[in-house]
Amino acid sequence: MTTQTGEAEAVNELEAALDNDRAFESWHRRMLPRVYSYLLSRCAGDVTLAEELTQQTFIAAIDRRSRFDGRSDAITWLCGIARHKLADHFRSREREERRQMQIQVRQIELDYHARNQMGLEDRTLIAETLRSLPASQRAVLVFVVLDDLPVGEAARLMGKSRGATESLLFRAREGFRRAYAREVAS
Amino acid sequence: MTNQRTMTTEQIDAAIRRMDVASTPDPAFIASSYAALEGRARAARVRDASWFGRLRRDARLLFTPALGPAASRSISLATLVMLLMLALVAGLILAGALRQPQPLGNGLLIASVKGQLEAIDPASGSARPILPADVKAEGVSRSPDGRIATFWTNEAGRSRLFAVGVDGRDRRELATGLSVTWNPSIDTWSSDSGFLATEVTLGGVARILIVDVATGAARPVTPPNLVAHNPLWSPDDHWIAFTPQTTTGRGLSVIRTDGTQMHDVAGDLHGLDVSGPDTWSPDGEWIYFNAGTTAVSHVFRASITRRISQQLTADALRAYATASSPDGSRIAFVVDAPYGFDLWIANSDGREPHRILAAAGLGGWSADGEYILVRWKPPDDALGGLGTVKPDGTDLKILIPFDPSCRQGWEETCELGFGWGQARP
Repeated sequence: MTTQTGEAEAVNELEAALDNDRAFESWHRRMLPRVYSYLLSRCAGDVTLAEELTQQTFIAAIDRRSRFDGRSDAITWLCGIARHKLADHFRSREREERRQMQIQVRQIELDYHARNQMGLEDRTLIAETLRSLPASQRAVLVFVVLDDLPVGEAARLMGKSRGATESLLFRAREGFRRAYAREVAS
Repeated sequence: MTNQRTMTTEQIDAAIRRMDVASTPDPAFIASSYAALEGRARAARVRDASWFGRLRRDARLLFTPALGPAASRSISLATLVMLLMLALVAGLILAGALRQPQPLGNGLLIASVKGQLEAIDPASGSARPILPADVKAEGVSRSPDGRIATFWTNEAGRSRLFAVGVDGRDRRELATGLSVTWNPSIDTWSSDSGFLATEVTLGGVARILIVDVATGAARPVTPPNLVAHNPLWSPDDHWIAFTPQTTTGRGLSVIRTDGTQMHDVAGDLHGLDVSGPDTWSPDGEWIYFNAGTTAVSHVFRASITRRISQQLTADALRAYATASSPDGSRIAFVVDAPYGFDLWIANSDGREPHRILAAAGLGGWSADGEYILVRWKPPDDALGGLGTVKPDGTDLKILIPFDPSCRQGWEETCELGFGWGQARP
């Protein structure tokens, strides 16, 4: 009984939000910071990217509102959409990286040099380390480590086989270890 | 800080998890995000308010508990079978209900203002453009389900008909296989929102064209040798009413949508010319229209089954432009006044006529019968515009105010056509 009431309330939450302008604004104000926060930490502190993916998440949420069955909180549902947006982004970055690997490596190195001059906090250092990894490695770390997803689920999100994802996770951790040490040393 | 030698997998994961902290978005981003989503949320609201949207939501709510993880397989199956039977019954009821169309929510008013197609929320008065400003849209209409707008463009002597979603997406040209000239009548929709009837000049003759909005296919329905104006769909979507024009005058006829069984329905109007069928009563029995000469004009209704007409307005009134309320109980019409028109209302048989608003033209009823669309032009010329008023004459609200740069009689709102999903005079 309690569950059913909760489901009804969750369904009503999204429907009520779309019922009028004021309700939608209030719902948007309540939900946006949480989705943004979820994404920012997974975009290695890239504010522009987090904002873009947040907006894409809300657009998709409105377009796919009929798929919200109320079995989870609206914020859980929104973060699920955000996760798919993130996976799409990582896939797109991965393709781009394959095309422009040489140029990108050079740009990242220059970028690090400039930022190190400013003195970085530890979290910023971790963000920089994550950002230096290839998109596929970043993706697997975000989904498996930050989101605590099983490897199989992460593999499905990333469009890879389970074996390839396990291998990728191993390489991602190794890559993080090396890149982090390099950052600390510099 | 941890260095490479001492970093275990757990430490790597712990370091990465330190990224998972709350952060606050820039207020400017929150504002811009909301501004960009506002229109989409409104469009979603309109779609959800349509009968299809309501049906989809109800179906989802019905099936969600049955598909829940807690339910056992056998219970789920039994529930599904029961729900399918209920759905079958509901479908039969729905099919019956669809034969007698019920009033829908109002949805967005679609208007072309200075050529720019806009979606206007009649509740809040807020407007957003649907198409770029360089598209000069005329002859606007909106589907009864609130999802599609159609409009004409007329450039370099060529008329083109387009359809577009009320959210601005899926714009496409219709009737591309025919070279026609649009005659500025009011395009009307079939009640299932699948077809549009419009008046065009084809081969030098004014004819009624039926357009399949989904495929864009178009075909003339009236004979090639008959001048025909002002199409109007019947509530059951099987007939089109129109005004045939011959050397003896203008009458009122109906024709099946396959072009057969054309016949007169107005009977003897004693030499009065029909302006055009304005609206059809929801039960399909009556067509409201006005007929007159240069000296007189009266509102009539023609019985489809008996093929006779009844005069509904007094001889002393010069009355025009009749619109039946969606439930068929009342009619609205306009009456000549020294400064333009007054808006009147009466029972559907013409009894209890009374003026509800001075200096107002008629733009039809809202789908739920709660409002009447008016062009209000007060005698002092200080205010006015296209707006809504309740059928008792209260709660007048202007949606598109007059613009001094567009002073051309009754088009001071600068609008080049509007549609609210209902047939209108």
